[in-house]
Amino acid sequence: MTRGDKVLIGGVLIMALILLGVGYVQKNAQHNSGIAVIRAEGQIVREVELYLKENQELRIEGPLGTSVARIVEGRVQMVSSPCRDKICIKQGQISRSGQSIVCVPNEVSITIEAKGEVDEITR
Amino acid sequence: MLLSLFVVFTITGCSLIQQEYEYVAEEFMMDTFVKLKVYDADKAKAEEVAQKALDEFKRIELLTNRYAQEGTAEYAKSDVIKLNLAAGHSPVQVDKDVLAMLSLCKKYNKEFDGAFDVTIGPVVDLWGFGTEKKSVPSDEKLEERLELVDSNKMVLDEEKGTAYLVKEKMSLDLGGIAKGYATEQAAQLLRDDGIKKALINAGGNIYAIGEKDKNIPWMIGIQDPRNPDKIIGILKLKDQVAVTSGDYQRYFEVDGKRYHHILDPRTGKPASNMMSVTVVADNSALADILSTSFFVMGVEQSLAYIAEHPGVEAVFVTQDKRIIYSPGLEGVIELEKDGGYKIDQGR
Repeated sequence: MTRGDKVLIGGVLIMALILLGVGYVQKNAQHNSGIAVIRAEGQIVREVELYLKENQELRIEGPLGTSVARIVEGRVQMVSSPCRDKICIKQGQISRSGQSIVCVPNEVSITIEAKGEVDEITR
Repeated sequence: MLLSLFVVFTITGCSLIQQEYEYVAEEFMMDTFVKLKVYDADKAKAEEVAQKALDEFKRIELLTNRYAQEGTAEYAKSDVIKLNLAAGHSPVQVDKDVLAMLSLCKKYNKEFDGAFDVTIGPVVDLWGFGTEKKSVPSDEKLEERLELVDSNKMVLDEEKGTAYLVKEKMSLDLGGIAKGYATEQAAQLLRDDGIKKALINAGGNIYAIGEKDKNIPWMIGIQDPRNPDKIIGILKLKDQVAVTSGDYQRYFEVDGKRYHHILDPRTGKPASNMMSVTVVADNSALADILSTSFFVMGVEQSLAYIAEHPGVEAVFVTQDKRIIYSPGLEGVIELEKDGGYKIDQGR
């Protein structure tokens, strides 16, 4: 596979994700303003708008294996992880911008970000 | 403890001519997540200074960690462990930043008549905070341990660079300042390297450098103490810090009663009138000390202090579900209207 091929495949994947995103936006009028930004091994692998009525399961590949996150009514939660201590699962649900779930061993993180809303939360 | 680093670059360019890079670095430290967002036109520089700032966090963590296991490299590097072991025996040569922290703590111990005290270690250990074995101690045992809590018996020698806990079994717990001090140091490093825009989140201690955009402040939510999914309001900050002390961060329950980790050094028991205190100031180490002290002292005494100290503001959430904020926050704070709290502006 040449470098060009890789760029092409990457481009197609990104386009597919964008189109998927556009589809969701059109399908759902009602949504809250958060976006779940999913990172694996330091790279953004996916951005999911958090719709109140759109539930889904996300599979995120990390160095240890697949981490599974579930989005239910705008809340994100890690439900399965190949890591040892399962700290990411114990972190529970997040739904506000500024909140995040991080699985250090599997190098996966989910951060809720939103434009025009809060940048961070003091607690 | 330092397990990983997540790194991301995005171009957030707000003008067509100048691109601005956002560098995000996250690391588990000080028993919490430390996240830095650094913005600069020069990508390599943003990365380099963010790393420097994280290294500074690590350094302060190592110096102040008092839970390291004997025999580990961390154990040998902790000045606080050295000081605690030498209590009642001899002064200890400590890092200048440890001395600076202790000196600041001593100052506020005096200022607040003992409502803030870093020599609280023996009492924290009795309750078991910081360990798996938490329990409610008897009054007799508390009395015994309170004998050891006294910042006047912490002797600092700036010239020699030493600190000394005079009585045997005395011990320091820098939980009320280390994170704030490290955040302040990290922010100063970023500034010294010419960073004009950055956001540091050290487990809920927020440091906002610059503003989010031209004339647009950073928007910092304040956690609802009884609902982790909600915020009670938003603070609009520019070159300021926000630090919160809450009864919901570390606690355990026995027979339906909540015992949290913010102990009144004068009674040895959890301070009882507050759910959370958020301090806004321009120095993170100070804000950390103040949020703990205000939590212990209560609304009236804290507001009196604020009235005499320009640049310091606070939001209090009391046990009887009232939100009180200092007058200087008018226009800076936006509170949620239907949050289930009664809102008062303090005088």
